[in-house]
Amino acid sequence: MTSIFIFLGTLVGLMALGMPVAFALMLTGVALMVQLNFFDAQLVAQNMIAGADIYPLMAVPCFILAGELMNAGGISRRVIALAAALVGHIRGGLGFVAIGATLLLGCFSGSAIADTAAVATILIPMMRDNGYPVPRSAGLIAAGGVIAPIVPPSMPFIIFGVATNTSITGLFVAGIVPALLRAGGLVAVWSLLSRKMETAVQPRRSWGERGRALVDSLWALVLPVLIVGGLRGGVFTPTEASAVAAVYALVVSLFVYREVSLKQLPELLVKAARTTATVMFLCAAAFVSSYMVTLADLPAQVTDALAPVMGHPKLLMAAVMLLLLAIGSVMDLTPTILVLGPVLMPLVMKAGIDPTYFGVMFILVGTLGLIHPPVCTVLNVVCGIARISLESATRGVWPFLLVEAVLVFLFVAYPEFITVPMTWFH
Amino acid sequence: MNRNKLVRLAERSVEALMALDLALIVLLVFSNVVARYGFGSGFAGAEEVSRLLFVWLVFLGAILALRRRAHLGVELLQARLPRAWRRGCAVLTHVLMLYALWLFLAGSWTQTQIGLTTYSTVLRYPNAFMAASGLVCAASMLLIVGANLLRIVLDRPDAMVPGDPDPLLQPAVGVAE
Amino acid sequence: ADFKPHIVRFGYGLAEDSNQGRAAKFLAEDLAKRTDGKFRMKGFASAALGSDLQMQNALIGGAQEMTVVSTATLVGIVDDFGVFDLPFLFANEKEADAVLDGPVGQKLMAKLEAKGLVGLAYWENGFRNLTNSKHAIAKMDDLKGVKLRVMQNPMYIDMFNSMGANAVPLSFSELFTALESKTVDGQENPVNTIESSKFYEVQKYLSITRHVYSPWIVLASKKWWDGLGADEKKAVMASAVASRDFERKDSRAEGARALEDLKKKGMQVTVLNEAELDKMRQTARPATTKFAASGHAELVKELDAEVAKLRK
Ligand code: NA
Ligand code: NA
Repeated sequence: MTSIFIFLGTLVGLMALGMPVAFALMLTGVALMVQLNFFDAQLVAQNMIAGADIYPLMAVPCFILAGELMNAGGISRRVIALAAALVGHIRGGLGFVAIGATLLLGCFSGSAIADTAAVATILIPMMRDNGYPVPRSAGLIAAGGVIAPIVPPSMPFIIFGVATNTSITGLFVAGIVPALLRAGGLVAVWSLLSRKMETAVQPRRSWGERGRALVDSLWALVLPVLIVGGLRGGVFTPTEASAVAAVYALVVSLFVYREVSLKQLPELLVKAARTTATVMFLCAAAFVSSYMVTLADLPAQVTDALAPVMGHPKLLMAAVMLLLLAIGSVMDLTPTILVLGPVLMPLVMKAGIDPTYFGVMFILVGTLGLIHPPVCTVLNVVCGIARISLESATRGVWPFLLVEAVLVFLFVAYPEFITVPMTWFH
Repeated sequence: MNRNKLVRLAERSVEALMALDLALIVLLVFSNVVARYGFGSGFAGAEEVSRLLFVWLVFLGAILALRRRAHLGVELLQARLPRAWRRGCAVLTHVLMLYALWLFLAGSWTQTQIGLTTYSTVLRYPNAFMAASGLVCAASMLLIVGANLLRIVLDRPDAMVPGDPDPLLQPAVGVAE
Repeated sequence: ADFKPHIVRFGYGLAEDSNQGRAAKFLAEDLAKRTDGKFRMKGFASAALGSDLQMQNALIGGAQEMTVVSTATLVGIVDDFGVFDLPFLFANEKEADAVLDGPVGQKLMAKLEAKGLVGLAYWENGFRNLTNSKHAIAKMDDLKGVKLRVMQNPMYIDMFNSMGANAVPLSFSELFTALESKTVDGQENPVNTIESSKFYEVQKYLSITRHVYSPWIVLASKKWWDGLGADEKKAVMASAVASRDFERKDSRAEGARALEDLKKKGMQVTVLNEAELDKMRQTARPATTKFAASGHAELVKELDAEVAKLRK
């Protein structure tokens, strides 16, 4: 038990003091080294480097670059235009456009932040001009943005797969149905809420206009088919799929849409590289702590502590989900995955819970942390774009947050929602 | 040339290196797919090279991120503390960070020395090429954290303190979530 | 005898219930027995102390005491160890044992000392065999057009390309998924690995080719070793040798059991006949010539002489 206290005490204490998570993780590893009488500076350096030297994680910069290219190259804009052409005319239509657009864009990008930013930039001004309440609209887009990490490709799935040794392809495939259900939940709540809104109705587009919007965004729509098909069909591995996505996005933006010039490319590369470095440095530091966590046999200690619920998988899952929800309110998703993934995975496996199902649930509940305050990067992004305060965005987002949380606990009670569709793809 | 200009130039050069680095990674991974289908085989060193490039990308980028305060942290509690307390916490965390970085540096130094006579399996480059990335990262970060600690202690206005409202603070946009 | 208390951290890559894990347990118990319980060896399974390369460097730097790694890892510090990647070097276990435990194997181990490592004993990973999901491979021609995953090692790529396969270098971490989704058709590993990595779930055909013999090597940190007394060194060495005998016997029994199990799991096993194997040997021969020409002529000659002596 001592190791658990040292681990939690050091990590939480240092983070409360305002230390960046990466450094807190390094020092947590050092504290455990001292406790286990295994102190050596080489172990810090070796694990830092080993934590950055992980081949499958090369998918991170590639998918980020692909996302940057799609936003800069006008691919995202065309997808949103398509959604607007299809459902823009319904009552409260721009809300449905937002849900559809976040879902579609989620199929190309693995990042909730990039997606939310792209949709919010285009749709929030439109929604404001058409009389939609801005906080509610911003809340909807944020809640839609967190669909992106559930549908493939997904950065959190890649990091989770590497951290816990779970099949990334398996996670990608298993995420599709819960993502659709999440979008469905948002549609249901928005239809209720939008009844009371006094909004201008968009003119219905002709089938010709819709067809043109479809053709215009066809290049974008091919990509998810390419990725999922390529993965299932064995054309490439998840790591290679990311590079294919980046090259594809580059070719489309440079030569088809011609909205990106070669001159802009270095800037986009730097942006993607910076983001990658921030995420991966965290991963490197987490390697130091997780190395010592393994040596201290921490997962076994947690299992012992949770012995009473080990025989009740659903109870255990509910407890873990509540824990993750609480942690998600103050911690970002990547460090949560890196710190808790390896600790919890042996535990849930021992309880007989399917690792892929657990991975999907982990990310489902983890992404809620991105939109519930106080620490909530995705909600912050829409606040910045909509120029509203975090308080009003919180008031706007809560009904959507609630339905997404209810869905998580529905999947705890009925894992079949996730486990049954998983088998369809085999 | 004054100091600020020099720092900016260094940053620009690191950024250029990172852009080139990432472009090469994408190309290498992509060419693996092409090689498999086009030529039915692959280049044995592709993975080794891309991994080496990736590690450098991470550690170079992490230095820049530290300068821009882009590493994720929880500053919630700090923002609510009185100014003097906030500075006290910052001094403490900076000293501890210096210690962590010192370990990272010392360990990387040993690993780099070992790496001078050990070689990678496929391309036979000295493993020091890999370990030196840690050396560069730790040394640069020591300088950055040390300089900021000095600024905090001297109560300079350009000191970066967790929890301070900071107009220069880059929002954590782009984090891969 | 004079024994001081020591804690020995012994890291290895496979799981605790593998042949590696069982031998590690044996080694720990045997060492405790020989040193009146003064040497307490703690085994760390499943690469808990890092990859083979990471452990090798930790030993050199003195951050860890002992490990067992693939000889392929050592190629980066003593490139002579590349000799064990050569195709069809040994015909059977008896030849392998004799050469590894004899002067050639010992001479190679001795070269590690200058690099900060002490080689103690060779364990057995095993003869490597082929699996694939396309069709049974009974002769060399059947390899034509098979996309075969190999280690990122130019020698393996050349070897299998020359036999007509499409050798695809891929990291082990992506192998299962790649086999499952048919990104590659096949792979090659000892039967123990084929069973423990569950490749039988995604591979139908197993061909007994025994094309490469892969040894493991038990290592100690030279920094740590130099601090031991004469009696202590003797005890560690004796335990390493005892563990070697245990491990080889256990691995071979396990290999036979794994093969039966793979058949039961539905794998179709093909044993290549001597004529076909000979054809493969001839085709793969340039690999050995090339290795010898790159500064290892002496070693290859010694080894060939040793094997010839045994075959007489
Ligand atoms: Na996605
Ligand atoms: Na949160």
